[in-house]
Amino acid sequence: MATEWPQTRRTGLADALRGAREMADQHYGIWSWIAPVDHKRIGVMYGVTAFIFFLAGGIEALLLRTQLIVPNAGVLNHDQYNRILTMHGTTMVFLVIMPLSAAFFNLMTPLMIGARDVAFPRLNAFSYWVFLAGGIFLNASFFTKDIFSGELGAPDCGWTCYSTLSSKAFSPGHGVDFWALGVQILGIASLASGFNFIVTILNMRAPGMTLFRMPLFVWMTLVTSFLIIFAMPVIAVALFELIFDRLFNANFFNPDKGGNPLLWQHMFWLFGHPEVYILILPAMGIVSEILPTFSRKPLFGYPFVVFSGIAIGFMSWGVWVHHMYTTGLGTVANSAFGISTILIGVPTGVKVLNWMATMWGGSLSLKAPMMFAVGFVAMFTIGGLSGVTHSVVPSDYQQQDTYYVVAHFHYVLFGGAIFALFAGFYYWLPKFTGKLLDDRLGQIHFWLMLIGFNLTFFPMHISGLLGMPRRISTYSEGQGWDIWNMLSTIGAFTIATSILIFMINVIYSLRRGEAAGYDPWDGRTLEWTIPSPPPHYNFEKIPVVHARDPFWHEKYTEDEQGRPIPVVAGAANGHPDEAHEEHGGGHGIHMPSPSYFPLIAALGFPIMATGLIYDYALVAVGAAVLFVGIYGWALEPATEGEEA
Amino acid sequence: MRMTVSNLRLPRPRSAHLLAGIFLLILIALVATGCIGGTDTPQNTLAPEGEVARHQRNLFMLAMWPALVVMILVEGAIIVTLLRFRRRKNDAVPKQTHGNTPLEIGWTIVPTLIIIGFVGVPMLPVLFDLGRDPKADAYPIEVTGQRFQWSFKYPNIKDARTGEPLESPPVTPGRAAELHIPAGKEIALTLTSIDVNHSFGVPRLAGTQDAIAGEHHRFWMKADHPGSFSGQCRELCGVDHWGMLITVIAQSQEDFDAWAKEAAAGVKQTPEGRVPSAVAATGSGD
Ligand code: HEM
Ligand SMILES: [Cu+2]
Ligand SMILES: [Cu+2]
Repeated sequence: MATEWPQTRRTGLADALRGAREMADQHYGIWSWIAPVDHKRIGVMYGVTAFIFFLAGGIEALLLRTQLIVPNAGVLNHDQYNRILTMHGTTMVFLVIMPLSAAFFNLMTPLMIGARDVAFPRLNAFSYWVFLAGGIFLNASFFTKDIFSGELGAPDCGWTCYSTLSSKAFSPGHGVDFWALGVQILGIASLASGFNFIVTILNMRAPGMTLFRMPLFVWMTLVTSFLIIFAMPVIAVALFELIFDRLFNANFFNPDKGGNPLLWQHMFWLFGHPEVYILILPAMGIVSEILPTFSRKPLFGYPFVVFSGIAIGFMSWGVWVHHMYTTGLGTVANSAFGISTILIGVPTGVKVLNWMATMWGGSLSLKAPMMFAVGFVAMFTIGGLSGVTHSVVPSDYQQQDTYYVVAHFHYVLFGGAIFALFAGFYYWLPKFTGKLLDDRLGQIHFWLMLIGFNLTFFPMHISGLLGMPRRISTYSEGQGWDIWNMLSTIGAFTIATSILIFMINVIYSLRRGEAAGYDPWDGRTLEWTIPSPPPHYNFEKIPVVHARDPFWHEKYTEDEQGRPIPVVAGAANGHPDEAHEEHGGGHGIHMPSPSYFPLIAALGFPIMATGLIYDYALVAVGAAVLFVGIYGWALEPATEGEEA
Repeated sequence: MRMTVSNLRLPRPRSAHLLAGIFLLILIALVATGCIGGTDTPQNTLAPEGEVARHQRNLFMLAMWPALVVMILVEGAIIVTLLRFRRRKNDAVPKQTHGNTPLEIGWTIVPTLIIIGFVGVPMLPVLFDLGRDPKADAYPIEVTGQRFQWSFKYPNIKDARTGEPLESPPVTPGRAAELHIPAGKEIALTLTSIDVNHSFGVPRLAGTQDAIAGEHHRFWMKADHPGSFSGQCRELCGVDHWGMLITVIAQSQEDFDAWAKEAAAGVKQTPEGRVPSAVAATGSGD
């Protein structure tokens, strides 16, 4: 497989399909995008798609901020504001940060553990297609009303979509139906990738790569994947109940019929708090790779960082009530969850100290990836600290649902996750494009984004403490909020400018960027031992791992005082694998064959969901499509070669 | 060793200046935060005029100052690290330190103790005090959230016209519903909603508590002195969520009694015509 240019002469449909599959197999042509199995290809697709959603969510944010720039502005009406607000939050959580993390899981995990692909390449493709389908489905809700006359059909219940606001009675129209079904579909994608990465990491590590030799990013991928497979079913149940309430007049959340609206909040946050760690742990993993590389020192206290990640994973299940302090659950519940919330700050803080100790005493190269990683540490710290301040229950009765909370979660999600994801782009993109991103533009991007970010979100602490509620579409003057809102809006446009610079950088660098080579950063882990871009089989020979930071140990030994010295034979700059490249070329390596069945199967979900909303007949059609997809997938040989 | 002070060549990197500048700005902003309590804005959460809000402000300060100190230390340390260990020409590859277990155990345990001691423990008595049942002699008021207005029912005042407990007149979104209370007296509120979740937030008296359909959420508050205090709905409840405003009017006992008498007789429902009484068409837009 994966060897010859396809020479088939096409006679029938079967041959045509076979030809297409082979084209895909050879990594060229449109088919290689439709029937991908290569984790790198799927990772890129995840990344590009999520970035497009990031732009959409960003434009939504700019609209919101423009409406709030002055009191009583008339840019958006109240209805439009609430709908765009809901889509902004939902998009950023489910269509941006999660899939961007998934992009890195896909791109990096196999390379970092020395594997040729993930455990279930087709499940991986399926996960991507389901994500894409869910994202498009969710955004399609905009068009369920007459958008050209300014009526948006999107959901209007906020990303938390509390009952009973989410009921048919109070959110008529189809917006919330699209929301519930869309998030449900996205959950399927997350579950599929969660299982996939758990199996991949547990089973497909290169010989010698024990769990405690795994790169930290891989550890965080593992913890996140476990969180995903436990958290997603919780929200799935909640969403099913919501869908039943809305579509079939069930009464799960209807207090008039004995249901309980608080049930939704419990389930949402039982999912929701682990979810925030699903959003941040991959970012922590990325940063834990970048800081050591650019400090030329190993991660300080590797076991501590791993264990605190695991501890966070467990503890994140025991703090959900901090989102519900003001619902009247009683003092005992509030105290218990108050204490547990205060405590979850500890493993988080430990990580910050470990990152700082990693840099201390290092030789810090302040290239763009490093700047973003340092920016992450600096900004995430502020978000963690404001988290601790409002974990104090009685004082949170003041901050609950004010801009103070908005400031907190943007410091952790934007200052945290987004900064780290950009760090990851600058660090790892060259591995896949073969071209370095321009560092000058990168620095400008970083500084603009850092300034814009603080300009946007720092003032929100203050407007929040001055009592400005979140999710209001307008406010009156005389509250002392005006100046802080003005600053926030200016900051938002500053961020937007920095993102433009990033895009220019990517386009420019793809065309005329410096060649990356194998190992542009003096890396420590296995991905830097292979060419950029890597061949589709990744490793010509599966590496054997003897230590944590295996590539570093190949490049450096230590003298008697424990000081590292480069290994002479040019291994530090040249490359051990380079020699093989000439003759081997990957002939004879068996890779899974491409398949379009995952795409077909994934198409079934949005069809079924549309059917649930508009016409049950479509549900049958969708189910049939899903069935055909899975059937074909199941019976398809794993590789073309095994066929008759 | 390169780690000595003589090696601490400071401002070469321009970016470090920028970083320091930003840090300074944040610092100023933070000092501003510390001073927020001094500004007399209508919904300032740090300018309490009631017992509950005062407790809350004090606890917040207890958590905020250590958080600020930690933040300044961490951000400062990051900047110092960047300046001091920035890669220079001919830098040797640094020693590969892998960690320091006692140190790490220390910096796990010490913050845990500090945070529990400074914040966790002091929080509990306040939490139980704010969460206790209102006293038996507290003045009762029933608060109902409804899209998109608040209404207040006074079980102790009988409306002469209907014989039922007095209820506040309806208001339109963007107009504040008025809640009259006696100043200096504990008020027992019972929150509920007839439709979606709302949250009754009056920062200068008590922060916010949710009004949820099917629940009767009780809590208490108290105004130090007569005055009027702004608030608004804090939980997204639909299109006109922005406009579900509240004004709490605390009056001395005599004034309050006088108001109650007039209101009960239906003479004048609102003082000095601040709010047009009973605008029939609530036009809430849903
Ligand atoms: C140091 C650890 C943290 C603590 C102690 C903490 C504490 C809290 C508390 C108490 C709230 C509720 C505030 C309120 O609504 O009144 C909250 C809200 C929130 N936190 Fe955190 N947090 C921490 C870390 C994180 C992280 C790492 C993330 C995400 C990456 C995050 C994301 C959020 C979000 C999204 C909300 C708001 C949810 C909403 O109402 O829409 N937090 N946090
Ligand atoms: Cu949480
Ligand atoms: Cu509201």
